[in-house]
Amino acid sequence: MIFVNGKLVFSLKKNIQFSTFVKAAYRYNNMTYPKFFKMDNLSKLGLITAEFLSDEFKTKNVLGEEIGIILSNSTSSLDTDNNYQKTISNNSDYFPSPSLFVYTLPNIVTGEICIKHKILGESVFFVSKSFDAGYIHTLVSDLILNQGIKIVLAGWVEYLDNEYVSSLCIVKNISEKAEITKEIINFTIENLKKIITG
Amino acid sequence: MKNAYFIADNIISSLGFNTAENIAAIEKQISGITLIYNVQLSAQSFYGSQVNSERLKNEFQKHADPNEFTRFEQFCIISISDALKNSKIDITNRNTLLILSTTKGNIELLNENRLPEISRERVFLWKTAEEIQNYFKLKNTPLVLSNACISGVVAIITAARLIEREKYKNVIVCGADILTKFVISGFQSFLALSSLPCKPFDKNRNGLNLGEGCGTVILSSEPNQCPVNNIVYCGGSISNDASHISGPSRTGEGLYLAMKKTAEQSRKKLKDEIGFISVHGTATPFNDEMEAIAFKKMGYSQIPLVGLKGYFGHTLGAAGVIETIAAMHSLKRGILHATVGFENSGVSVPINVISKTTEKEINSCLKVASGFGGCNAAAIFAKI
Repeated sequence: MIFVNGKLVFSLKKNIQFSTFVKAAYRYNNMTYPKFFKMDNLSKLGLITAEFLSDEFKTKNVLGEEIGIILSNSTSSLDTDNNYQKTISNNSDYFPSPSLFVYTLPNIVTGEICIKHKILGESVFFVSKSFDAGYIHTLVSDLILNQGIKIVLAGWVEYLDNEYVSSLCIVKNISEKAEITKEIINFTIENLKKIITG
Repeated sequence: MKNAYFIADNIISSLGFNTAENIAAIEKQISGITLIYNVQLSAQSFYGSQVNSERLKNEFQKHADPNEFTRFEQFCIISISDALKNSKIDITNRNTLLILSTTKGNIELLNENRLPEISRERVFLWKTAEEIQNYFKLKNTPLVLSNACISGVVAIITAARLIEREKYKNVIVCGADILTKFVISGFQSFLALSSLPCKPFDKNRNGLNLGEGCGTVILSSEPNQCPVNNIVYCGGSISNDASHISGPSRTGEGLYLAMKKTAEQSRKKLKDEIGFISVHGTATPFNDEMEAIAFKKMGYSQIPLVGLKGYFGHTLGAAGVIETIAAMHSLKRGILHATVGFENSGVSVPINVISKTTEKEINSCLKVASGFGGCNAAAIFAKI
């Protein structure tokens, strides 16, 4: 299931394979991005989630270097690590490949999102047992208040063995005069935790 | 806003188990890279930088039972303990945070034959960090970051910002990675490993050497008691090339952006020009060329460059921390380290690589790093 601003926009039947789910979400977004199909599952998951928020990256008067990303999860790139380990564990069946190995780094998902949306600002990947709203709130706030970043994509992207959850939000400064809608929520630790962990 | 001072450190590498041993070796231009034959790591021999396992066991026994901790955890525990010994901070206080920087941590645990007595849960980086937290009885959950080859520099930048914003009084940054078949086979598949000891920025460079090691640096809002040669963080920035996940941008635009923001941020604290640049300098053809182009764009062509991959190899998540510590000691001791492996420039623009240990009074250093995922980081620190 995919929710945007709390509204269900897309759902398929339960227990569906990730590959089917993510392909359907790709089509739903009318994407033409052949690179997508070469990515590992963590990157596909992060990229497709960011796609639903991508209008924000096209904001007028915001440069690529003024957009940042702070992502986290608990298993790093373990799903791909396991797949890569299989290619090197047996000397008679030894076939490590660079295209798989590169995805054994969790920050590749942030790199893939940067490439897709021409994001040049700060991007960092953290690993924690569960979503740590306190740390992420501190770091996102610092980017916006002190590091010249205007828009931050922040949240949690986790994929392991066909179990997956991805929950991202956009954080930005808005002028006091801006019209407050239901979608705009104050950036507090409590609200961040509620949004990301549901 | 508070200042973030670097108050204590440790390096564990093939060259020694504390900072003094490592710096002494570098100043004598002794490389820790050797030809390694070990089928557990690679079917073919390779040049790399490996920590002495016998000494590791002896050193670790002073802290805990070596059978209960992985090689990675042993590195971290010895390194943090040694750095703490040289500082007076209270680690059990809420105002002290640990940041762990690594690319692959305990990845060797995916091999079911390795360390069967160690719980497989410790392959999770947060669990690894928890083991270290429990050992030192730290109050705060450690912050763990994994950003490929820039991890160490990002960890230092993050630590400094948390101190400047008064979120913590002390932050312990520990960066570590170990040599594993997992990582070596990956770099071999990329054809990224040099067939000889690596030659950063040289015209005959043909790839990198991998290394293992650990660096710990403690940042604090309180400078050391002795007022001479304290080092302060001046500024830092992170960027993304947004061009390719497994190769640096040809234009150096991403690294340029990180350096530009870092220079702007550092203006207030930096009294004069940058004294030298501690490069990433992996000795792959593309990385070194990209760095040189980015330095030229910044107008840094004349600034002395120091690359340390010829001593330690590329220690991945530890590299940024170890190289920052070495650079700080350059400032303190007035000695620029030689870039071992470098003979003749092999990049397309003018550069000023230090090829012999050189005595020189210097006040500041720019540290840079770039890595997979198109990421770049830069930080400036200076003597006060």
